[in-house]
Formats: sequence, C-alpha cells, structure tokens
Amino acid sequence: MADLSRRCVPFTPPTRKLSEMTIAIVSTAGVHLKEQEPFSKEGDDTWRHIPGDVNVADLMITHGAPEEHYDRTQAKQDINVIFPIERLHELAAQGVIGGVSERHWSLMGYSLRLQKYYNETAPAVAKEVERSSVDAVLLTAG
Amino acid sequence: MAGIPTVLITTDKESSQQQRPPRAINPEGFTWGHSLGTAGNKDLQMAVLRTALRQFEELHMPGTVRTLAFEGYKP
Repeated sequence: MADLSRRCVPFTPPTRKLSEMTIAIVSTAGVHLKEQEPFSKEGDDTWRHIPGDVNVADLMITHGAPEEHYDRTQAKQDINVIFPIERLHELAAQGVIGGVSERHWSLMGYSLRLQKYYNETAPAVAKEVERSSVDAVLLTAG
Repeated sequence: MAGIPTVLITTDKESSQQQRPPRAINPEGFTWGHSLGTAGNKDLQMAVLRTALRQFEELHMPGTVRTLAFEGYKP
C-alpha cells in the first residue's frame, strides 16, 4: 500500500452527478448478517455481501479490535453510525443520490496477514465493485 | 482498470492520511466506532453522510483528509 501511495494518489473522477450516482458501502467495520459466518476475531481477510434492502435488525458486528479501541456500543444500537444503509436510502428517496447499490461489501479490518489483505483481498473486492453497477463507493472503517 | 470514485469517513486521521486517500473526511473529535456520530442521532448521521458524498462534487485535494466540525456529537 505504501508503494502505491508514494507513487501516486489513485484518484478516479466521477462520471456523473451525485444525484445520478448509485452508491455502495465498502466497510471494514466488521458488519455482517446474523445468518452469515462471523468474522474470525483472530484475524480475517474474507468479506461478506450485504444486500441493499437489508433489514438493519438482521445485522451484527464481529471485530477483533478491543472494545476500548473500537467502541461498538453505539453501532449495536444503531448500525448507521458505521454502516449508514438507512441514511443512504433516505438520500435516494430525497433525490440527493441516484440510488443505493443492491450489494454492499463488508470486511473486518483486523488481519495478521496484511500482505494478503493488500495483494488479494482488496483487489478482489475492488474487482467485484467495478463489475457491479456501482458509480461510487462510501468507505467506512468503524 | 478505470477505477471507482471513493470517499472515506475516518475517525483516525493520522493513519488514514498516511494512505493518501483520494477523498476523505474526518469528523472532528469523533472516536473510533462513531464514524457518523451516535445511535439515534439521524440529523448528525445525515450531516456527516451528506458532507462525505459532497466530496464527489467539490474540489478536494487528492491525498488529503479534511477535518470538519459537526454539531451535536456527544460520545
């Protein structure tokens, strides 16, 4: 990651107005569906797909970071503080954004294999996002 | 690869700045786990989200993290 950053900032300009953009969330906050396999707190470089029409009551968080570093108390009451899916739908209804992606991507930002995360996980997620109908991505880390 | 425009909301400006993200905002004073504020505070969450998404349409120096103040954050 440092290599890339030293060379250049990977800046991609938007091709349409915000009011026409379909937005997806890509988050490393450890969010997943209750029915999905939880992330391993020992370190995890896999990811989960979150449907755009998810009921937030079906979401939970599993993360390896200590609670005193990453406070989950607010997000457990209201997932929007780290994964603002309901707020995105409201912005779409107001016409501020064009739409909410049918799929969102969730990872857990605690991995002991950072090289693998950088070389394999992140490019694989980026490829999936690029192949979707998403125009722009909101990144959150918790 | 054409790439996808991104914007980051970060509570850790120092770490994020090192990665030189194309667009990023740091809500001033927000702590880890509170990227968009606190539970039930829809107005604050919406203000942070709208500001983040506006970065797609505003001039934003690539590689920098903008620290911005939001009212109503009580951790």
